[in-house]
Amino acid sequence: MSGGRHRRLLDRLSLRAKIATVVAALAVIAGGVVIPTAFSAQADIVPQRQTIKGSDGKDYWVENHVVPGAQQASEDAAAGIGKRPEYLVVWAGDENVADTAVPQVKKLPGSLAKPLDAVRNAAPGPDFLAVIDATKGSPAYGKVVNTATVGPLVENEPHHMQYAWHKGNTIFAGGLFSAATYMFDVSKLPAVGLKGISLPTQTACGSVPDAFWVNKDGTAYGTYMGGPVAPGPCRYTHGEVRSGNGFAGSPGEVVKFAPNGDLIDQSPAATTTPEDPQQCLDMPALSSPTCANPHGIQVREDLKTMVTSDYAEPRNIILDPVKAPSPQLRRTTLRTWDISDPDHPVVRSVKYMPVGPRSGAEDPLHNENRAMMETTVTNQPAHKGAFTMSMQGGAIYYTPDITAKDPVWREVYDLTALVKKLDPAATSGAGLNGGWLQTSPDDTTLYHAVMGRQPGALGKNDKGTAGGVIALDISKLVGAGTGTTCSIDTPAQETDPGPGCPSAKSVLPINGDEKAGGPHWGALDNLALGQDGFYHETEQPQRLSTANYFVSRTGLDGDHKVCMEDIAKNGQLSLDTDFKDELTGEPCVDFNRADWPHGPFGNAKPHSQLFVTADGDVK
Amino acid sequence: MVTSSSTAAAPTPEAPALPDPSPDGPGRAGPPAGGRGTLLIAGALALATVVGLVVLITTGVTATPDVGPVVLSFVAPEASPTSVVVRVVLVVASSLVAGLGLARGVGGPAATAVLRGAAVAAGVAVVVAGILGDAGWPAVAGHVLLVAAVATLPRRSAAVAGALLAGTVALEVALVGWGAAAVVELLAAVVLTTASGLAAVAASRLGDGPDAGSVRVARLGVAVALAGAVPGAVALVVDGPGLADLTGSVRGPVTVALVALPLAAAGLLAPGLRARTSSGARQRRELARWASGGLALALGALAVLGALPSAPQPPQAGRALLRPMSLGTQRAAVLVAPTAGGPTLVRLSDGADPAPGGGRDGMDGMDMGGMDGMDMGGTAGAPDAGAYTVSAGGAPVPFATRPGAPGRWAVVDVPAGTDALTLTGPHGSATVPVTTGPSAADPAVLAGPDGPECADALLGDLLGGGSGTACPSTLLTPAQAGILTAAVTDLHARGLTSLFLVGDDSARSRAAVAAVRATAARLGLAISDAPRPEDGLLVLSGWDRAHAELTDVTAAATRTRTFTGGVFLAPWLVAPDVLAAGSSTMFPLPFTPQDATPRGYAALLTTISADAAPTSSGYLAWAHARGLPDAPPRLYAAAAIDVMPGMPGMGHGGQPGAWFPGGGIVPLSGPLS
Repeated sequence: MSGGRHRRLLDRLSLRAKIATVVAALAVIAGGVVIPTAFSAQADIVPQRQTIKGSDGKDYWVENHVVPGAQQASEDAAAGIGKRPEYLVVWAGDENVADTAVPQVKKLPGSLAKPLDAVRNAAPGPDFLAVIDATKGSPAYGKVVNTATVGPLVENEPHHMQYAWHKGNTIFAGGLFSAATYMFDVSKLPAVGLKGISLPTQTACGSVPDAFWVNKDGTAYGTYMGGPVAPGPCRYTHGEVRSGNGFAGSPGEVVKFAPNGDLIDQSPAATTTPEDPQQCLDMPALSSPTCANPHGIQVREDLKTMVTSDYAEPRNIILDPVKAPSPQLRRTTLRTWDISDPDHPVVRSVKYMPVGPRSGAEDPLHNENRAMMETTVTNQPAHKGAFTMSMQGGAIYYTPDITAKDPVWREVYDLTALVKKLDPAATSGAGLNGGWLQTSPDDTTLYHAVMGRQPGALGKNDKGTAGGVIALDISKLVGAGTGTTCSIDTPAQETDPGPGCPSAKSVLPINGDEKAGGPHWGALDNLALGQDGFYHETEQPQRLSTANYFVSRTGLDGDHKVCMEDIAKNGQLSLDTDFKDELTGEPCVDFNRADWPHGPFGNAKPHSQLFVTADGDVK
Repeated sequence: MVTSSSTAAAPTPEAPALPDPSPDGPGRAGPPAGGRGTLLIAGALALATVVGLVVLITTGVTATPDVGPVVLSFVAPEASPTSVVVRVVLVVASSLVAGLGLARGVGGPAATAVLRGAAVAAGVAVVVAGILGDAGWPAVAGHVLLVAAVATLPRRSAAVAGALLAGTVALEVALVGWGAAAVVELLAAVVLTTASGLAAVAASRLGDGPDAGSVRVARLGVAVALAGAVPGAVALVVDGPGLADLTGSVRGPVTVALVALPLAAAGLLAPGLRARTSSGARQRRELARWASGGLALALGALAVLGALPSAPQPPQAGRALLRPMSLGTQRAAVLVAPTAGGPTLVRLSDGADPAPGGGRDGMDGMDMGGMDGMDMGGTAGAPDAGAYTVSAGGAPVPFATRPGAPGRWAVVDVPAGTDALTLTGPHGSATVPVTTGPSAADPAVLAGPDGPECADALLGDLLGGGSGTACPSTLLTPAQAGILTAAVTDLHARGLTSLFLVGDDSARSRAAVAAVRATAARLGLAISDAPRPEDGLLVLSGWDRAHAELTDVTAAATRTRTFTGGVFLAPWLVAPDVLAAGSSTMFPLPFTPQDATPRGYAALLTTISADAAPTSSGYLAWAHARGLPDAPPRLYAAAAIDVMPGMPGMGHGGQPGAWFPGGGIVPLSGPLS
């Protein structure tokens, strides 16, 4: 009965086999069900949150999502293995329009995305500081190694930080809509900590935080472009009183923060003298008209002087949806401040930028002096000048001496002179929507980012222009000191400014095929790797980074890319194609992506960036 | 249960009466397995079911979701038709494989061709699901492994594998649902799979001769099929559409099929019960085949159920009614205020965008510094509001926009006893079932200028699971009186010297004005009889009057000094269109709009309609219905912010569901005492 013996054998075996099958199948099902997203990008990330208390007693936090391997690489480098990492830190807002579905934890066959997830998707995602590996030559070049999300405030509208980071600095990052400023600790990059947060109730005499300047002692000045949160008189720290026309109106202020976020000072940008009611429209009107809506801010501590540029009254009042708001809401003024008492800046001068040869009554919106968005100071001790640019005007102005009681500002460059290098079909530099403006540390070069002009901005036949980043040679201008005679006064000088004026050193179109697709913001890499393996400040930055964000009028998806550009020894700019997006393989890091280390929150808007290293890696 | 002793007693011509026969490999119809085998299989099935339940509970599927069924009726699972087809094929084929495997264990033939065919279909469907990204590869591998096991293993092992596969399929069916419905669907799947297997066995065995074994199979089949109708009936009651929607939606027939098909299958298997002779055997087998097919169809219905949105809210007397509608190709959301007959307020909204990320890009701007992405609330989406009409059987009433309120509105006369309204749009029309009955909300108010605010409050109350509320404009609650008193006291302490009040005829407004006057008198704060330039303005009316007043004040302020003391709003005036009419406004609120819960409420609204706009009245009704306490009131300031004026696309606002699209709301004070 061999069959019977076999049968008994098989019975025994098949019992074991049955049990084995049961166990194996259960294990496989369990693996597919219960172990969440074993192969997804977020699986190994352990979020680490640092929570602090705000002045309102509520909790505020930053939560890190460091990609595995990044922390290890950073520690290896600190121990001498490999290159110490340098990072690009980007302040980005969740776009909340293109959120993707919550990932399927229970990805069983036949599964469908659950409606509940669609409900959850509708809530806004968090804003975050993205930490990108910017170490030249590193295999992780261009990789997002951490996203540090902030909470509980969402939809802050992340705007700008300071212009450059130096060892030991806190990062000050403002939220346009939340009127809050975050103070980030980046000493232990790639991880980010939260040192403090300033809430709108603390800075009641201003709103709409814009940009920051960090002093040598780590304190920071910041511009709050909008008026006191409540209309009417507001009392500033040192007792001044100014009247405002309400939240996000006028006049704005300059604040001073300690590195841990404590508020040291609020000082008014408006003086007690009424400003020109023709050029300074406030809506609603103030009994003392003012153009004081400071946006750009840069400081020369050695000259005890601060410079701010007034941009526009940030409140948007739609009275007539068809008519455009008045151009006089966009400012033409620059303010210099005396910071002999560093904790109490006082306005020393308010100067109206002159109109140039292009300006006319037929298109006041595009006068050369329209909307002075940014300002930048010279850096060398012997130089006392500063530059400013107009966003709608497309012109650059300069004063050789910011310490003067009555500084003279002249137009020194009309972007018309180089617009053809951005876009061969363009003829005018008006309305180029310039933003970032920055002198090189050695004062030889002026860098400027322009987004480009939208089609139709100058009229029916205006085809618009592409945007890009520009390098101007300013050595002759700055070298002439107060003896400079450069002044754009005639139409011929629009295309040929003349000797002694800035000249175009390099023009790099970005997204050259698109109109108004260029960058708004940028940052120079002020850190260079030394022979000792540590980073040091450099006077000759070899690269810069730009952030492009816009929503195209043609309805195409926004660009939202952060690019890296090399600066050659001869000053020529070129796109660093090695700085690639880790997902698409294309140059520039694309902030329009479905997945982030902190979750599948979809597209983000990168507003500003800084080159930063961990504290232990820089001397 | 089939036991070895009874099988041993039945004479079978083919096989010897062995006490524990277990023929390996595919074979002809043999005697049913021994009692141990059957118990093992039943045990495996029970284990699989229990494991499934445990998984459902531990992964939180059985927890009832935080959002009510009303919201869920607006949101369908995101699934392409391909994914749904794959799911149906997967479920039907896998459950057929599982059922056949199970039935083999009970003693049926291998039914090899059918089994192998179904196994191949199931395998292909699973792999396609993996390729589509609908399934994780570990789970695909497990599923394929189980299907292969059933198709190739010896009978007993195959039966156990079949039980596990049945459990897996049931889990796959149930995981897309939640709450009690998920459990019901899990059980339905297990039972129907078993039934379909038994029916398939019966289809091949019935009538082979007087055969107690096949009668038992038939008996089991009938019993299990009847049992299969029970979860279907429960699903119909728990999760099914109301009577009014049984024919109108896809869900209706599908849920009915879940009850009807198993019952029909039981009926078709019933003749096998009395089979003692071989006459009519062919017909009985044919009927059994139909039964098997019917059960497969029921499993397909179960698979499809997961891809359908929840049943829409049935009309209830005295409650607001919120339903998704399709006017031809256009999706819309309709809100019908509770009505006892007579003038009835109806709101029509654009349906929510089915694909998140589509639609709105805020690009309404013009080149020369015109509007940025800031949306003017409901008006922007309804250029031809008059093209939509509603009728209660009489003359159609056109929809129109109302200042200060989002969406399109119509007041239609609904005779008592009406059971349906007809909505017509440019692309098609649809009916909404309604019912009339008394309610807490005053119909006169609903038909008047404060109607939209009342409707929004009723909506919030409905979404929060409440049972109806009075119209907010009919009453100044003690909490609101307290908030106004605290706010006026704080403003006085800040240096405000005089106020000008604006109200309307509503009971709430009159009471609010009286309360503010009393507080002001106590504080020594002047109340002006006529507006003076240095006054603060305090608006205590409803939305309609507030919108008009703010529009006038904003325009006047550009010409001359107007209310330089500030513009203040009553807490119930926080609605996007009202805020947008002012330049900067301030108001006390018992919650912070930036907090997670109010933002969650706003996000919830966007799943219902594209022009969703959270308002304080709607949010507070929702919060109170959920039992959330008010926070101590704070003062807030709001303004539309646009740092790049005149550059379209740089505008930072315009999201649907924002508390103030294109603007910011920030706290101005700490808690007011």
